Amino acid sequence: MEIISRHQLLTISIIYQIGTTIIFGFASGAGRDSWLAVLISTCLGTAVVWIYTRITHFNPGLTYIECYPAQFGKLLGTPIAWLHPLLFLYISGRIVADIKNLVPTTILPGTPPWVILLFFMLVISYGLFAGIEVMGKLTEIILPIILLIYLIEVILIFSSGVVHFDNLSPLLDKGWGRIWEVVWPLGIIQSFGESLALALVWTLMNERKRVGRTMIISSLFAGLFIAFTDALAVAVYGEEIFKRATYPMYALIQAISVSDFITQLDATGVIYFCFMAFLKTYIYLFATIRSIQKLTYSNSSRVFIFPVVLIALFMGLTMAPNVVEHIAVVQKVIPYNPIYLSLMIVFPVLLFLVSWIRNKSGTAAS
Amino acid sequence: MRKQVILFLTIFVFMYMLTGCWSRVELNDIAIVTAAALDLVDDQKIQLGVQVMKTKMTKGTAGRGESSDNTTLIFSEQGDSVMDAYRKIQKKIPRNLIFSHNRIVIIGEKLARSGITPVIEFFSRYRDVRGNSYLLTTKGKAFDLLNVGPNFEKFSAEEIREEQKARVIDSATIRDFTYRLLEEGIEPITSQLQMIPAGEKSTEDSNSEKKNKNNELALGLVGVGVYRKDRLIGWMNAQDAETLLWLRNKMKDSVITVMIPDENKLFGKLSVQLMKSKATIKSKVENEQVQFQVNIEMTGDLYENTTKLSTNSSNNLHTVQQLLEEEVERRIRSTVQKSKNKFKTDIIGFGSKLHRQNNKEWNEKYSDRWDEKFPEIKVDVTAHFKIIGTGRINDSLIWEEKEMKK
Amino acid sequence: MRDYIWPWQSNVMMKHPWALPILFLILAVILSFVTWFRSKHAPQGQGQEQQ
Repeated sequence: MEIISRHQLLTISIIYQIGTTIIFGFASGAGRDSWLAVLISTCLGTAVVWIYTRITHFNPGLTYIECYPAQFGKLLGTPIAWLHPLLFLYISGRIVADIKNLVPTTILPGTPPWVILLFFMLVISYGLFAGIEVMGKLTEIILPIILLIYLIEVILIFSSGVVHFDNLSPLLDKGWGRIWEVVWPLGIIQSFGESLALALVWTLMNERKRVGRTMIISSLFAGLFIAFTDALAVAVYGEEIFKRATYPMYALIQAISVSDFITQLDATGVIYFCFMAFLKTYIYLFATIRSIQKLTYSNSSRVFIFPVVLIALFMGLTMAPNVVEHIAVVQKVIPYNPIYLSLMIVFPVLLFLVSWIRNKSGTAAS
Repeated sequence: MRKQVILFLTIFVFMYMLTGCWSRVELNDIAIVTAAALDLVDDQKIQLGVQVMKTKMTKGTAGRGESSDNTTLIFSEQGDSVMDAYRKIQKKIPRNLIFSHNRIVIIGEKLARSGITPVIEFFSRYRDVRGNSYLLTTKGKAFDLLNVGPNFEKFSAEEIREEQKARVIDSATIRDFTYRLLEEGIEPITSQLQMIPAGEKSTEDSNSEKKNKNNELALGLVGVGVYRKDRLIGWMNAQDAETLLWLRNKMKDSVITVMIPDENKLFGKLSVQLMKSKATIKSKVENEQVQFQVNIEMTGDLYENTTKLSTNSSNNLHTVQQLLEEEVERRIRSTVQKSKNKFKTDIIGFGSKLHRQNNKEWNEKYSDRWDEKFPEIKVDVTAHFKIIGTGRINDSLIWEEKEMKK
Repeated sequence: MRDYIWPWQSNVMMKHPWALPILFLILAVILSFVTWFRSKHAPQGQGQEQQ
């Protein structure tokens, strides 16, 4: 079986959790308090992630998917378990649709989207064949580069003289209402509920005991990262423009203009985002394939790669005819959709309680 | 062996994908727009004029200097909207217009008075456009200004941009303008651009007689156009506009001249160059009366002295400092008065300061009615001036002369 | 009615938001049969991972 080290898990999950949030941002509705909303979501989200890690702790040796039949019994547990790969497949289709909307709007206007996505999925398929060890090594190398590029961007933004920190005050101008609307449930689902897919990677880590700590570090870091970027975007643009921008973080890069010399760094930003989306899609598809493999007791996962990738590609291409509907789905439908909420919050909590109780009575009995 | 063949074939095929992208546009297929001018013509149509750089890909001897004529071409078309006009111009030129190097957008008065939101909309949505092009308004038609030849730089748009960057007068980029348009408690302004003869300093637009001698004209920033929401409502002259810069802490350097009365009824003048200026505005609400306290601290160097005061003694410097403080306060008060009474528009941003400092009261009472409440505010100005240096000589030459005449 | 074939599309998700969960549930039940079927014939070494 493949083994990834603790550091590789850390880098994978940091990039994964920063992921597509950096492209669209979920806190635009909160206006200038968006960074506060992100911080609150981070705290709550880290707790949720911790619950996920504890579940795998209480069921040693089983992947997250197998915990459901094990704890709830085969009759009830198996359908619930099967919901997960379907959900992951849907979410990866959504990320594919994100890319389909981002890249043609910003840097490659003439290229037909299916060409862009075809190449994207080809690379992902190759990655899936190669296994997650390879992905771990890749992220280990790339995360420092990404952080360095980000740091340079921040320095350039400050040097462009466009940052006005008094755009961030008055704090809580319109009250806490806006913030809570954004935090629950969208804030928790967006970056942290999605860490559920990482749960299928955890059993592959070499030091099982440190999974919890690693994930907490990564969640906190990713949350701070997003909060800082949000705050910077508001400081540069002011509240109203931030609320209206389709891609707030991309607009941030467009603002860089140092001595009229260093300008137009858009492409760097898009490449950056593409990589984040790539990793997220990869992890979701990996989780899907692994879940299916476990649930069908197959020997190898390779046979599932092709169909799964095709389905994800098809879903992504046909999902939304334009950006507006796509974002509307995120804002309006997903928070109230029972699938997300139940799979990411309700079922894990139940599973956690059941596993905990069984664990306790198990150790008490032995 | 087979593996290597397959590998080789794969690399070969993919190499073709890396050579270029689908929608590439070569450099000799694009026309770079450096300035755009927008006007409203009679029947609700918008006239878009663009200043395009002439770039010829000539083989052989590189860059035979285009010294005789301008390196730019002007095109214009009318259309129902900005994009419509843009497409029509596109039909006239063999190349693709790209806006990403656009330096300035000039708006004619008629269009400005009827609301410039359509213009800003286009420039906010379209793909290539940067938010850091400067917006300028002009009396009359904007298109005429594009014809003025450049004096220093290769094209006039670059000159105007450098002038704006020198920050002699308050300016606004498209991003700034949109920000102030949408933000509560502050209204937008743009710089006012006119054709002025390069010789004298004149604040009127004198374009008719001197039009043939293009090289003697310069495009100058003579003031500021005051907007309420997105409609132009008036002009403010250069001196008052300068104080706007002070109040917004955007000043780079500036010159103040004060006159002091002499014994023999001869006025002497002192000129000081401001190096640093910092303004803080504090708001206070007392019994339904909104008060603002403006504190401004400036430091400067004295560079011209035509009075008999010796610049060597610190007492004199104190007097001069006081005079300067009074002058600064006077100017700020005058600008605030004008903004309150003549324009009734808060272009300085008092409202947004009140919002930031007392947001409860802002939200309850003033946020919808700031337009009415603004003329009733009370503003107190205190200035502190510090003269740091007096230039390369430390005593007045004139004083010496008078001494010798005795 | 044709909408129900494409429940992941954004317009369907906005009009009938329950279409996708129901599709998932149906698929989950069907696929559980696959699991049950495979578990009978699968080699028993699939139970636990190492560690």
